[in-house]
Amino acid sequence: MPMQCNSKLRPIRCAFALAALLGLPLSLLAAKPKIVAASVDPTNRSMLHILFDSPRPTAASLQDKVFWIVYQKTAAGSARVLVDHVETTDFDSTGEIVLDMTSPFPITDLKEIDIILANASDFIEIPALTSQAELGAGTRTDTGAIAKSKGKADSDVYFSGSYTGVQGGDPVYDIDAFAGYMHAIQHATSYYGSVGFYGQIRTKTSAVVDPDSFLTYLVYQYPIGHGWWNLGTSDRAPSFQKPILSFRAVGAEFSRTGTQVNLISSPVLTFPIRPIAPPTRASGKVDPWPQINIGLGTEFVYVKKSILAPQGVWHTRGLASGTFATGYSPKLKICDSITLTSNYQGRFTSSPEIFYDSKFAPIDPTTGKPNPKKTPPMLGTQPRHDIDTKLTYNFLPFTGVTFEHTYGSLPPIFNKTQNSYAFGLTVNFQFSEFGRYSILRP
Amino acid sequence: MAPGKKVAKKASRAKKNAKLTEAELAKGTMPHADIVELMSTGTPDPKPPTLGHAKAIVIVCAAANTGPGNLPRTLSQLGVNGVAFKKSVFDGVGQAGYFIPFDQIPNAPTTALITVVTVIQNADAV
Repeated sequence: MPMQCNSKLRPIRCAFALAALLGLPLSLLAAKPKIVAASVDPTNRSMLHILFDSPRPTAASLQDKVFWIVYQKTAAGSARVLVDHVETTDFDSTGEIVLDMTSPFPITDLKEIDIILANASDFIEIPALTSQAELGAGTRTDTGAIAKSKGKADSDVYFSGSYTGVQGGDPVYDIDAFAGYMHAIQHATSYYGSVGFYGQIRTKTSAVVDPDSFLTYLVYQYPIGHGWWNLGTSDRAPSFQKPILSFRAVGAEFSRTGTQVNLISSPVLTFPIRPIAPPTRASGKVDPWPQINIGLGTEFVYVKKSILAPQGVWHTRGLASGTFATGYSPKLKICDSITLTSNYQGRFTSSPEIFYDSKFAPIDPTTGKPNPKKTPPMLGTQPRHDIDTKLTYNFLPFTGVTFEHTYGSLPPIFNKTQNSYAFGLTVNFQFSEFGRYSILRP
Repeated sequence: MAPGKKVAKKASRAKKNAKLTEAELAKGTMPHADIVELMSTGTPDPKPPTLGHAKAIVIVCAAANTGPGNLPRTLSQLGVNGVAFKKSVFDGVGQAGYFIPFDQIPNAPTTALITVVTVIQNADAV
C-alpha cells in the first residue's frame, strides 16, 4: 500500500530538503548566541562567569572546554590560559556558565582578558574585559564620569534647542534643556542621602505669550523604607518601590525677561510603581517596561519680583505629579519601536498667582482680531496644570515620527489655556562613505 | 513452679529492669557542644575578602524584585526606578558585611542587572 503523504508535514519536509540542497547545517539557521557579560570571580580567580541572553544556546554547545579560547594580557605580554572544565549547572535558570581555568588570573598585573567561543556552529568573540570590575580587581568600570546616553529619558544633561534670527522681525526659538548632578554623602557603610543641583529651561516663541520657565535648585535626596511592597501574592502583581524623598532646599523660578522671580523651597515624596511585574525571563522588547511615578509635595514660594502679584510675601502651593512611560521594540521591518511617555504636574496655589489667559487678549486695532501676544497678566488661584504626552513611532531604526500633545505650562508664568499638538519627523543616518562631503562643502 | 517457668519469669523481670532511669540517661548524655566540637573542622571559615558573584546576584535580584533569569535586562526593561534600586543594592551589600562607595553603584535606565553584579561582587569586607 503506497505511503500517503501527510499534507501538514509537507511544508516542514520541504524546508528540510531546501536546507539540505543549500548545504547549510540546520544549526546555522538558528540565532547566534548572544553573550551579555563576562567577569572574573573575585573570590576565586580561577573562575570566569559568562552570561548569555535569550535565545540561549544549548548547554551541550558550550560545555566542551575545547570550545573556549581565553587569553590574558599582562605587562609581560599575552598568554593563553587553558580551561579545565566548563560548569553549566545554573545555565537553565540564570543563563550563566562558569569557565574553571587551570590557573588563576593574576590580581595586580592583569590588564585584559580576551574570550572566544568557537564551537561546531558559532564563532563569537566577546569584547575584551578591561575594567577593574570585569577583571575582579575593584569596583570601577570603564565608563568614566561622563558617558553617552540613549535619549532624553536617561540623560543627566540634555539640551535640545533651535534659534532662528529674523531680519526686521522677532527671533524664533525653542529650547528644552535640563542638567543635574547628585553626589552621595557617605561615611563608611552609612549613607546619609545625596545632594546636588538641578536646572531646567523650557522656553519657546509661540502665538500666545511666551511660555518661559527657568527652574534651578539645590536638592537633597534620600530613598526611605526597605525593599518592595507587592500588592497581592501573584508573580505579576503590581508593586511599589521604596519612596524617594527629595527636598529642593534652595531654588528659583524665573522668566526669560526676569519680570517674574520666585524663590522656592519644596519637599516632594515620589512613589515609583510597577503596575505589572515582568516575567521571569523578559525578552527585553518591552522597553521601557511600564512604570509610573507619583509625586506629592509642597512648594513654599517667596515672590521676589512680579509685575502684578504681591511681592515680598510667602505662599504655598500643593504639588501633584505623575509620569508614565512604556514602549515596545519588536525590531520588525515596518516597526522598529514605539514609545509612549506622559508627564503631568499640577500646582494648587493658596494665594493668587500671575497667569495669562488668551481669552482676554485685546483686539488689535489694525487687524480687528485678538492679539494673544498682548494678553494682560491676571491674578488667580486656579490650579496650574502642565501635561506633556509624546508618542514616538520609529518605523526604521533611524527614521520615525513623533506626535506630541502639550497643555498648560510650568511656573513662574502660567498660560491658563493652551493646547498644542505637534507632529515631527526624524531622520538620522550616515552613509558608509563620505557621501555628504563629496557633494556639499563641509 | 516448673524450672522453665522460673527462668522465663526471671528473664521478664530483667527485661523490665533494663530500662534506664532518667538519672542514668542524663548521666550518659553527651553535651551538645561536645557533639558539635567533634564534627568541627577546627577554625571556622573566614569571611571572603570580597562579596563574590553568588551573593551579588542575590542582592541585585532582590533590589530589582525579579529573578536571576533577568540578569541581562536593563533597569528600564524591568520597570525599576534607579534611585530606589541603588539604595536597595547599597543596603544589601552593607547587610552582607561589605562596603562599596554609593556613587559607584550604576543605576542608569540602560544599566543591565549583570553590570551591577559585576561591580558589587568586588565590594570589600568591612
